[in-house]
Amino acid sequence: MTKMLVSIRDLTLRLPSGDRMLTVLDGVSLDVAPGETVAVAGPSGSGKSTLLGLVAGLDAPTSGTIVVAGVEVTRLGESALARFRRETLGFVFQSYHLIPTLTAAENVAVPLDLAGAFAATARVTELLARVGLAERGHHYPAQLSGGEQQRVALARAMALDPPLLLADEPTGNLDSATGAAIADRLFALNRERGTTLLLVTHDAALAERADRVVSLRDGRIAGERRRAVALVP
Amino acid sequence: MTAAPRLAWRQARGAWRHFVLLAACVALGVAALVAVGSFAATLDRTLAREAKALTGGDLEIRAARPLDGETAAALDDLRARGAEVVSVRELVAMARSADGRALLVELKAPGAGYPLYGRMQTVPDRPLAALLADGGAVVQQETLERLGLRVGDSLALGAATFTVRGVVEREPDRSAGLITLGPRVFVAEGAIERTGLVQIGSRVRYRALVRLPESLRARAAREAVARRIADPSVRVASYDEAQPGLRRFFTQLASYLGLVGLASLLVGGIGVASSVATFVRRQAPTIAILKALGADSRTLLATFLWQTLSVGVVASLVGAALGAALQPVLIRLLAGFVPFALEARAEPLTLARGILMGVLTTFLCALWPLLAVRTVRPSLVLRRDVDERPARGRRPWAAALPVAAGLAALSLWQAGSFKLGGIFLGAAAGAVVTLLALARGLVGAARRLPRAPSPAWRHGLGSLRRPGGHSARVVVALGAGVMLLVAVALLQDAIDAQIDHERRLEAPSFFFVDVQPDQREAFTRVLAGAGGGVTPTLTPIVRARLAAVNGVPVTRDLVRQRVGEDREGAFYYTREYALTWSQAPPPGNVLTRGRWWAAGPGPARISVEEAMAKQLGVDIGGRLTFDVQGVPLEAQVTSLRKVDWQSLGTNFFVVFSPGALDGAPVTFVATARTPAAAEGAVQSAVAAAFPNVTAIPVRDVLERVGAVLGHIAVAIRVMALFTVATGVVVMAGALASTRYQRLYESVVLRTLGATRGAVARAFAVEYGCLGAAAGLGGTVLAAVLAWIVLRFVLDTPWRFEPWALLAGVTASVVLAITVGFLATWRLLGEKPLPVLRRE
Repeated sequence: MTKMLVSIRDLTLRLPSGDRMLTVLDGVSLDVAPGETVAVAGPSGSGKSTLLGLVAGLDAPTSGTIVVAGVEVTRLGESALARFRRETLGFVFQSYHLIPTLTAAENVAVPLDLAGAFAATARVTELLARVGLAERGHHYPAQLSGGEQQRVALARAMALDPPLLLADEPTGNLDSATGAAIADRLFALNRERGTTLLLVTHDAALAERADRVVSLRDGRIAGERRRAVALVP
Repeated sequence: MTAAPRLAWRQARGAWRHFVLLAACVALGVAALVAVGSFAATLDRTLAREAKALTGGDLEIRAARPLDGETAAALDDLRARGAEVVSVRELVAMARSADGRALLVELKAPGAGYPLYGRMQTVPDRPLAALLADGGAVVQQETLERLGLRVGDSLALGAATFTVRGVVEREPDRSAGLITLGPRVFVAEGAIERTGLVQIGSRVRYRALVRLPESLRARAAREAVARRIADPSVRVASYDEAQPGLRRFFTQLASYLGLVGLASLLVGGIGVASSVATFVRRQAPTIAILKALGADSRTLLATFLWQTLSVGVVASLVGAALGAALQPVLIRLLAGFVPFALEARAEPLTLARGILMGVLTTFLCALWPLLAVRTVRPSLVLRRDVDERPARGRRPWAAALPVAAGLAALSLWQAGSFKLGGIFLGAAAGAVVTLLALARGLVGAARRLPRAPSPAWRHGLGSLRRPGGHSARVVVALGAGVMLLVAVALLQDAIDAQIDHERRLEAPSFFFVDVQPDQREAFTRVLAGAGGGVTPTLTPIVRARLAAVNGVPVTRDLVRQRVGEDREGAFYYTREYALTWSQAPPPGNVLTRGRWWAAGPGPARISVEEAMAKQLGVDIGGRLTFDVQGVPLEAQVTSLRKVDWQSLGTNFFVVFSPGALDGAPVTFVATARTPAAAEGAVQSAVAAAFPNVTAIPVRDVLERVGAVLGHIAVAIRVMALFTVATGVVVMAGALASTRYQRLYESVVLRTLGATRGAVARAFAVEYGCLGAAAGLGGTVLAAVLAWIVLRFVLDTPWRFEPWALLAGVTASVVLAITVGFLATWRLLGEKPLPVLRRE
């Protein structure tokens, strides 16, 4: 058996809601192999986004373990987590989460800056060119369309060529044509660079393009489907 | 870590608006500090540069008796070694005009060669000696005005008459005290004998001004001369140690002004903390994104610290420039009583110090709110509304300790002394705690009050407990400003009342000095005639100096050994004493030790003022020996007294038992309270009948004191205004931090049918309550502060001033409502729909 890139065991998260505890995730276990594309599907409130956030170490689970690229995320301290996110993950969000006060190019440069890779102007230009925005680097997020913003976010996620790309409803705020284009780029990344893709969506068409679809319901894994035929020969 | 400055720079570009208020707070505080600091530096520089002119020479030798004997020998010696010596005599005397008007003047008779340093400025511009030749006098303009004279008229001094030949505009060495008894009159050295005013018992200051040859160093020469003159009452000073009193006064004034400046910087610190807290709250989404992208808290903290500090540096630079520009204003305010010309100049060290203060304050005040960066959860990027709870306990209170310690250290640095800094810190901490408690009380009251019937009051009071704590910030910042302003006003009132002659029924109108024994009857008669039946109180005076303490002769060596360089201590050994005798304890004095003498003959006994006894180290049973015109007189201490020096009566350090001073040369000092309207006539009549008697008009002297204090009060008030201005900026910032919430509420209210006017009224209630709380807290604190200063520093009675407190509260309410509306009126004009859609 190949070594898994992501290995989740018995993951449980409870959050206080009002005066009682809300179980967001309840004993979830999931493995993702290197180079695999996995979609997590399910109705809203099923805990999909939370699962993604826990994999990224954005929050700590109540119990359970997550190992990503041999690193036990659940045991990392704040600084180590930040470093882990920088080096191992790319992240694409439903609402893009670009920093409004930075230009597109500067947004793409943030991970490079944080990693200490200065004077990476050429790299930023290349990344923007790859998402088809070479000419728009000096624009601020407010001056870009939703699709463009998400492409900038994608370029930012790829800046350090991470082995794992996490996408949280990447097409959720986009019309279907633009959404499909973004999805194309995501999967192309997987094909061309072997980037493992863990995406959360309730868009069935998008989920269908993944190697494997995991369904979440009320914080538990309700089912799992493997795609029978490879779409790409 | 290196990512921080880069990120900071990029990020700050879009966020500059958040920093405008922060910058204003820091700039105002630094401006205040730099203005005061530059003023102090200018004074210091001028005192150093003009030291020789202010002293009158490289050396000054001064005594209350003729400079003969060992002093004359020492001066001869200096002359023999190439030094130039000019002798000067100064005394206070009455000047009279031909039409009988009289005026107390400070008479000066300089010898040939005066001045040795600096320049006399006279109109006409001729050498002083030429103007004074053949019975000439040169006077200050005030002398002419008060006596109704013109140049060319005659002027009588004692038994002699002089012709006014010119007006003196600037006298290089007239700076001995800030408060003079009267304007200056110059006459020639030899001419002063003709006045008959220089005689045994009269108060003449004998000075010898010395210009040393190149070969002699001032300090060494001073030491050599001091060694040769054993009598410690002959003061020997070199130019570089001259005017210590003046220097001390200005140093103290500068440090008080500096503390007021520091207060405005600290209020600015509240603004810094408040702006940074708002900024971090607004930036929470960006912080979460950056964390999700792999930024650690340390990098983010560094990023925001870089941003804040850059703004702090720029603001401090602007503030320093503003302060330097304001320095001439401060100089003009104080020029009225600074006895020499001041020239405004930027001092690099002062500017650097002000900038450093500004940056450090920014750093310390920003650090605590910036620590909140660490508590922003990256999971905010995934679910915004579920989990807004901040991570508890992530902002350790231990971090507050170094911040507080740092602010305390800054205060001590500015104050320059532990005592002053400690008092300042105590007052600041007390004020902040009180104002915070008041703000909390206000918020609590707003919560608990029964539902107000009017919607404006209901919504206005409701806004006070808005989350984010803007109420506390406004009350503290505005209250601190109000406190300083009202405290200055209260202090000034108390001092004015204290020196207000009319209100002090026990205070005499005149002191008449040097009434001779054979003039007593005639003097009483003349006074009764001119003053409408007033009877003077005559007290005998014998002038003497201290010769020995418990049998140990008072020499220069002894004084130095006992008190070192402490001039206040030396004062008790070297001063010229006015002795008197009395059968009964002087009225108003309180015996603190020993017993008053019984009637009947006995040995010479004395009652000594308690501070003097302490300084000299004598107690009951101790012995003091006085030199009365060359005759030693020993007496035993039988009681100690507490004297109220503020009472404007004749007070004495030493009172003898009756009979002990028999045979000594006696003059009398007379006091009388005359109706205000008769004061001019009394002065003229006495001056005409007794040219040797000096009449000191108390009202006039008190007015001179009041004028000097008035200048100081204005300067302090100007500095306090900085604090108020900073408080206003802090308030504007605190209100701006609630802007979005306020906008949303006002729009919702208007959607529900409230008019703009109704929303404005609700705002007015809120701002008015904040202003009232700040005003109430500030004025009560001011009253406490004024009471402490009056009671423990100025030793002056405190009076309750309801109108000042009322004015403070009213002004604060008006200010708060005005500032509040200026900061938020635009919200009232926003159209509801777009706002709601945005939400």
